[in-house]
Amino acid sequence: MTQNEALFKSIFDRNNRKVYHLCYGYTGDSDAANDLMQETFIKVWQNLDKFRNQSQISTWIYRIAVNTCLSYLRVEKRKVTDEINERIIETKADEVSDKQEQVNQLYKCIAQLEENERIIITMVLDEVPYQEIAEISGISEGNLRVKIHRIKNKLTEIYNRHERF
Amino acid sequence: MKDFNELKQLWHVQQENEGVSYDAILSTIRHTKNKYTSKLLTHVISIIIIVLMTLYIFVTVPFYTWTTQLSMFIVIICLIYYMIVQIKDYQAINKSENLLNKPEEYISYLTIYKHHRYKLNTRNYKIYTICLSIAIGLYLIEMSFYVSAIALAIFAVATIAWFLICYFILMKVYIKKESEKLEELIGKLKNLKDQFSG
Repeated sequence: MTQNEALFKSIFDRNNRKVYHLCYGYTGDSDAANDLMQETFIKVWQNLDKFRNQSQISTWIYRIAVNTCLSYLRVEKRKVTDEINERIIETKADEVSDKQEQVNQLYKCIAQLEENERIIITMVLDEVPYQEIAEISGISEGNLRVKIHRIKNKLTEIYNRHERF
Repeated sequence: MKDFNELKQLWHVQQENEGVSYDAILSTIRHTKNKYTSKLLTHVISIIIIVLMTLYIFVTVPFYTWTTQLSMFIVIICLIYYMIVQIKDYQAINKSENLLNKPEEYISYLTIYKHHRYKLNTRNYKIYTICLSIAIGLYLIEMSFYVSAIALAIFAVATIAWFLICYFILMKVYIKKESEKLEELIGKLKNLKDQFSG
């Protein structure tokens, strides 16, 4: 394994979970999230030389992930056929636990928020410090706190509305 | 009824995603890189072969008029320009400093990029077609020395008809489609920009 590959592996191991959450929260679709996560890490690999000058790795990765998500504009339909997806969903359906079903529901609710709200709340749920979220999203910390308060209420309301049905 | 803290607890019990592994990403990187390199190489080699062949013809064939050489020169310039633009564009979008910018700045960059692609796909394509028409027109002068007047007229009419169809029908449809696509994209990007700057 080359030095670059070793560095990339350690970056991937430490960050893939959070990046996946962000992409899933943004798209509301696990297949699209996997595609975006893969795209994010490909860009991480292509820009590894730029990382060497950065101190905060998570901010750097999140920036790439957020910008990759923003480029995902749903203009073109996904290449994966619906038929294959349906088959996968059918097979997996029985295995999905009750808790996981609630998590999936939570993702669906996040997908109903505005794009920047999805990105911010996913990071809040993953316990990224507010200062870092502000740095990643380019919003002032004061403004961010107000936004987070509003998004939390909005998400809770959407979730509870869905749970009632 | 759940409050936000309960949603947060729920968030932390979610299953690990096993959809994409480190090995799969590395293999995709290698595969994409190889695929792109071979595609690029094919492009460059094809252009070089065409340029060399044209140069050979340029030097060895005694043409009746200099307009033929000019037409060859125009075609070569068009081909090389097209290749350079495609390569530069690919590099710009794949290894971009802009990826590390704040979302608001990145959205501005995306907006400019989409406009640039639109211009490339419409205005530059138009110029490309015009240059090609001029090149064929110039070659017709050379042809007039070899073929009969009727054959030349048929060839000229067929060529003009083809370019008129391209320009007034196919290109109009294409530009309309591209323009609608751009409008939709810019609308979405504007919406995103408002969210991040608001």
